[in-house]
Amino acid sequence: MKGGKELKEEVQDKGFCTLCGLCVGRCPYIKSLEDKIAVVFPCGIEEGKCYAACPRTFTDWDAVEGQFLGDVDGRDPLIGRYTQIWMARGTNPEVTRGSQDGGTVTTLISTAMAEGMIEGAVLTSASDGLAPQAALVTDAADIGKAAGSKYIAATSLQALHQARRSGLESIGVVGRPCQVMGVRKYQAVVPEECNKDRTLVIGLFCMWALSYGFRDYVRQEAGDRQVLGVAIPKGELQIKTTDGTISKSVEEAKQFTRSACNICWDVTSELADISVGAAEFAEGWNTLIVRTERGWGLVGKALKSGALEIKEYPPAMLEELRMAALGKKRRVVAELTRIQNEGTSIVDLSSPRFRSVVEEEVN
Amino acid sequence: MQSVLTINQPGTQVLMMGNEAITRGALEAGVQFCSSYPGSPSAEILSLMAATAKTFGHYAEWSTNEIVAIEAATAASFAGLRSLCIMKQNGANVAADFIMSLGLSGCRGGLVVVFADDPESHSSTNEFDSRNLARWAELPLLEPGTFQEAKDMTRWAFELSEQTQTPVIIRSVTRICHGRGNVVLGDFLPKKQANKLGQWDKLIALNPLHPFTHQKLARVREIFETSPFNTYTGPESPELLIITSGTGSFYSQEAVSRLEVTGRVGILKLGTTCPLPGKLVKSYLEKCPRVLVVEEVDPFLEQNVMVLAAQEEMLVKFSGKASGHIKGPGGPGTGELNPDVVMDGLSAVLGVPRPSRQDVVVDPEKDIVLPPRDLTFCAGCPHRATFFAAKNALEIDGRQGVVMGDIGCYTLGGAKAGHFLLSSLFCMGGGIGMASGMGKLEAFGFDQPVLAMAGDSTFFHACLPALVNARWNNSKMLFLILDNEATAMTGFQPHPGTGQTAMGERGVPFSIEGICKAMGADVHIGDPYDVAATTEKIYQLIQQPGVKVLILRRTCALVQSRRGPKPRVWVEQEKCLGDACGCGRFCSKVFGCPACIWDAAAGKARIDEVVCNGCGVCASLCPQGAIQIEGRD
Amino acid sequence: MAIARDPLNIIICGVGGQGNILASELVGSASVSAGLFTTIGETYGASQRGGSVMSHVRLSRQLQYGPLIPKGEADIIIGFEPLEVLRVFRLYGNSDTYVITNSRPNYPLGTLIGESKYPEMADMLNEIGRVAARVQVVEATELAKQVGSAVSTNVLMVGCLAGSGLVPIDITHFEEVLQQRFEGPALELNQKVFAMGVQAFPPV
Repeated sequence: MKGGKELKEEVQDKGFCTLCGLCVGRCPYIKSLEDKIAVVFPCGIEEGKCYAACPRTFTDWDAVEGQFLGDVDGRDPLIGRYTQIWMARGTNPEVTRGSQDGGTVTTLISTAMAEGMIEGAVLTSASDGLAPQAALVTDAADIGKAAGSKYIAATSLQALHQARRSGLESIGVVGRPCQVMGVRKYQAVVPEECNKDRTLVIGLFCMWALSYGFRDYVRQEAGDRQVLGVAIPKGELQIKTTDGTISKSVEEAKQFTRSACNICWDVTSELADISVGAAEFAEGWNTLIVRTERGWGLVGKALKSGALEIKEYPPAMLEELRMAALGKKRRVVAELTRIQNEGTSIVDLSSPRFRSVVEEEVN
Repeated sequence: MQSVLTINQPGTQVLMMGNEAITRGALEAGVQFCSSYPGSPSAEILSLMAATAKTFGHYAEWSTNEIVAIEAATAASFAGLRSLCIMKQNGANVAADFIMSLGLSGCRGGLVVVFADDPESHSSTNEFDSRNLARWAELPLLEPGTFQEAKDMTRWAFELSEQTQTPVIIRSVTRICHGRGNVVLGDFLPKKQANKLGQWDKLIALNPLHPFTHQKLARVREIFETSPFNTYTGPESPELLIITSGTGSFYSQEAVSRLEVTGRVGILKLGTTCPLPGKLVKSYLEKCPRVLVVEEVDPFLEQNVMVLAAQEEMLVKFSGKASGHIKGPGGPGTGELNPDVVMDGLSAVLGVPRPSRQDVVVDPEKDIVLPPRDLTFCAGCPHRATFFAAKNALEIDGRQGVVMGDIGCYTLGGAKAGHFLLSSLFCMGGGIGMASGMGKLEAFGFDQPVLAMAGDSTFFHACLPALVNARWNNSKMLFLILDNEATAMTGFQPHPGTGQTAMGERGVPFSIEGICKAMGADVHIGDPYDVAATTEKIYQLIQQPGVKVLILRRTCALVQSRRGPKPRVWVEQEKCLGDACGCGRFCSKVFGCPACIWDAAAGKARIDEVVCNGCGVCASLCPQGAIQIEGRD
Repeated sequence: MAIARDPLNIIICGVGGQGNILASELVGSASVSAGLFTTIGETYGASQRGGSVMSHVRLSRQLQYGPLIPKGEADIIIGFEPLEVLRVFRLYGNSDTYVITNSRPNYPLGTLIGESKYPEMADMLNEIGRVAARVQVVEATELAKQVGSAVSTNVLMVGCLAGSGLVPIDITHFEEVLQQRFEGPALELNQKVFAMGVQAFPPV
C-alpha cells in the first residue's frame, strides 16, 4: 500500500516527477509552484490515489495500452498504436492565430467545443511562453489564449480536477505524453472521476521539457527588452522580443532539460486519442496521428466542417519520425536499466515492448 | 460607572488588580508623566494611565521601546515632575544601558520605575529576576507583597525618590500585577508644573559621581531600616525565622498557618530589599539563627542576607534555594512560588507533617487521558494563514529554509500552530538580527534560504537597526513583517504604525513600507488571508538576492471582530464528503483553526460559529469547495 | 447554604478567551462589597491564546490570602469548558468540592489534528462525580445564546454561582456590581443573562 509518503520518496525526491499536475490539482497536501513540487504535509493515507495514478510510479504499459487502445489495429513499436497519420493544418487564420506550426490542436479543440463534443478543455496558457499555467477553458473565445508551444513543463492537469469540480461532464485534455499517461492511469484507478468515454485526449509530441532555469536564461538574454514568446523550430532557439528576435542554438535551451525527461519512453503520446506534433519538414504544418475511434470522430468532424485540412504524410518523413523516436527510446531504456540496477523499477523492462528497441533492427 | 482609579473618598475599600493599585498609587502621588512599552504582566498600568489622562491631567505615552520610555520619563523628572516608567523584566534589559546610568545621575522630580517580572514565564520567554538589575544599577528597590502595598509603595516611592534624589525601582510579579485583592484608597496629592532648567541644572551620568551614588544608597538604607513596609509577625523567640519578600509573604503566611506552627515560626517580611536594611535584619537573625528564605525565582534576598551574616560574623543556618528546600518542579530558582512549594519546604525544614486535602487519585492505566490544550492562534488570526503559506512555500522550495523568530503572538508559530516553523527565538528584534547574520553565510557553504519574522510593533521597537545592518552588509534574506495593526499579544495597544497614541490622539502614521523602502530594501505587500498568493510571493522572494521585505498586512482577528459583524463561514453539508473525501480531514487536521472542527455525529466538517471570526481562509483549503463565506469583501 | 470554610476557595476555569477574567472580577467585587477579604489569582497574556486558564478566587472573613490555592483545596470549581473542569478538578478537587460546569466542549488543537482524542462527556462527569460532593451541568452557552449572546456564557455562570447560595455573598451585591461595571444595552444584556444563571441553578 502506497500513498503520499511514497509518492514523495519514490517520485519527487528522486527527480522523476514530470509536473503533469494530476496529484497537485486533486490533493490539498501536495503543492507546486513553477517547477517545484512537494508533499507539504503528511497525509497519513496509506493507499493513495496519487501514487496509483502517478505516471511515474510503476506502470504496466501493456495493461494500460490494452485498456485504452486495445481495439486499435495498427501497431508501431516506435510511435504506438494508430490508424492514420497525416500532415494537417487549420484553415481558419482567426482560430490558428498565435498557434505553432499548423494550429491543428487549437483547431481540433475549437471544433470539439463547437460541435458539443466537449464542455470544456484542459489546456496550458502562457502569456510570454515562460510561465505556463494550467487553464480550464469553457469559452471558445479563450481557446486561442492557450495556443502556441510551451517548452517549460506546466502542471496542466490541475485543470482536469477543476473541470470535475465545476461539474463539467465532457472534457478535452491537451497534454504532454506524461500527462496523457497520467490521465489514463487516473481513468483506470478512479474511473468515476474521469470517465474515458467522456474524455477526449489530444497528446503532443515531446522529446524534453524545460525547467524554470530556461525562463531565467531567456530573460537574461533579452535584458531590458520585453519577451513576447519563444519558438524552437528545428535546431534554433528564437527569443521573440518587442525589439526583434534573438537567435540562439537549441542546445542553449536543452541544457535546461528536466532530469525527469531522461526516463520518458513516450515521444508521440502513444496513449492519446489523437497525437499532434510539428511537421518539421514543412513549415506551417503539423503531424497528425489518429489512434482511437473517438479521435477519428473529432478529426472527421473537423475535416467535414472544413476547419482542418490534411495531406498525405510522406513515407520518408514517417521514417525520420520513427528513427527520432527510436533514438530517444534507446537512450531512455539505457537510463531505465541503470536506475533498475540501483533498485527502482518504473516499467517492466523485460517486456518485449522495451526489449525490442535495444535490438539492432526494429520493424 | 465609577472607576476604582478616580474614586476620591479616602478610606473606601475596593477590589483592585495589582496593576490598578500601582496606577492608583502613582495617581495619588500626583504623577505627571508616564511612559511604557506593552509587556505582560505590566501593560495595564499605562493603559489605565492613558484612560485617566484627561481626568487627571497627566501625560501617558506608549514609547517605541523601553529604553526610550525611561529616557522620556527621566526627562520629565529632570524638569521636576513626578514620573513613572513601567516595563516587564525583558524590557528592563532593553532599558538597562540608561538605567545603569541613573544611579550616577540621580533624578529630580520623583522617578519611579516599575519592573514587572514573570516568574514561571506565563507570558514571557524567560523568568529573569530584575531585582538583580536594581542592585547592579545601585538603585533602591521595593517589593510589594500585597495589593495594598502595591498602591502604598508606589505612592511612597515618589517621596523617597525626591528625598534622596535617586530613581526608585518597584519590582512586582505576575501574581501581584494580575492578581486582585482588597485595597483601601487614599487621597490625591496636589501636582506641580515643570521647573525651568537653568544653565547649571544638569543631569549627567559620569563616573566621578560614583561615590555620591554610594552616599545616596547609604541614606536610603537608613530610611529602609525603619520602613513600615518591613514587618514581623510571630513569636518573640521563633524556632525558625522565615525571611521573605513579595508574594513570598502570602505563601509563607498560609504555610505557617496550614502546618499549624504559628507558635514556632516567625515571618520577617521585607518590602525594602535593596539596599538591605542590615541592622533590622541583623536584629532578627540574633533572635533566631535558623532561617528559611522564601522568594520568587532568584536567591536574591537569600544571598544578600548570607552576605550580611558573613559580614556580621554570624553563624546562621540558611534554608531556601541553596539548600534546595524552596523549589519548583524544575529545581530551585526556577518556576513561581505557590503555597504548595512553601508548605513542602517548611515541612521539610521543620520536620513536621505536610497536610493535604487532595484526595483525587488518577489511575494512569484506566482513567481518561486528558488532551493537552496547546497554545494556538485565535480563530481568524492572520498569523495562522501566514505560517501556513510560509510552510507551503518552504516545502515547495525544497531547500529547507530557516525562519528566525521574534516576540509577539506569532511566536506561537514556533509550535504546532505554526508547523514548528521557527528555527530560532530570542528577544525583541532577535529575528531580523539573526537573519542578518545568517544571510551572510553563503560564503561558508550555507545554502538554505533565510527568513525572519517580526510583528508591526516589534518592528518599531527593535528591528530598525538590524534591518539597516542587513541592508548595509547586503545580507541575503527575506523579512516577513506580520502587520496586524496592533500590539496584539499584550492587549492591542497602539504603536507608531497604527497612527494613534496611547491617549487616543491621532499620531503620525508611520509607514512600515516607507521606512523599508527608504532603507533600500526590495519591498512587497501582501494579504496573508490570500494564502495562494502569499505562498507564491514568499517562494519567489526567497529565490532572489539581497534584502527583501514582504509586509503581510491584515488586521488582528480579535481587533477586527470588535469593529463590526463578522462574515459567516459554514460548511455546505451536501458538498462536504466527510471521510469519503479522502482528504483525511484536511481542513481541521492541517490548518488547525479552532473554529474548524469535525462533527463526529454528522461525519463531516463543521465551523463552530461561536469560535469562528469569519476570516474565510479555510474556504480556500477544501478540495471540494464545501466551505462557504458570506459577507466578506 | 454557604460553605463554612475559611478561606473559601473557588476556581473559575475555561479556555483562554472565554471570559474568565470578567467572571472572577464580578465575583471578587461582589465579595469585597459584602465585606470579605478577597484575593484573585489569574494568568493573562499568552495563555489567553486558546490555552487553559484558571482564576483562583479566595474569600475570607479573617485575612487576605495569597492568590493561589493549594493543590486539592478548591471548595467550588466553576468551568466554562468541561475538559478544563476535569483538568482542574484532578489538581485542586477533593471529596467536598462542588462542581458546576458548562456542557459545551472547546476542542484543543491536538484533537482537531487527530493527535489526541476529546474525552466523552459522560466519562468526564463520572470521574468527577466519583469524588466530588456534587456535580452540576449547565447548558450555559445554549441558554446565553437564547438571550442573544454566546459570549455572555461567563456571566450566566456567575449567576449560577450566585444562585447556588454556596458563597456567603448576597445576590444584591452581584447585582450592584453589574450596575457599576456596565451601562446601557450591555448592562441590560448582562443582567438578563445573570438572572437566567441564577434561575438555572436552584440553591444547593
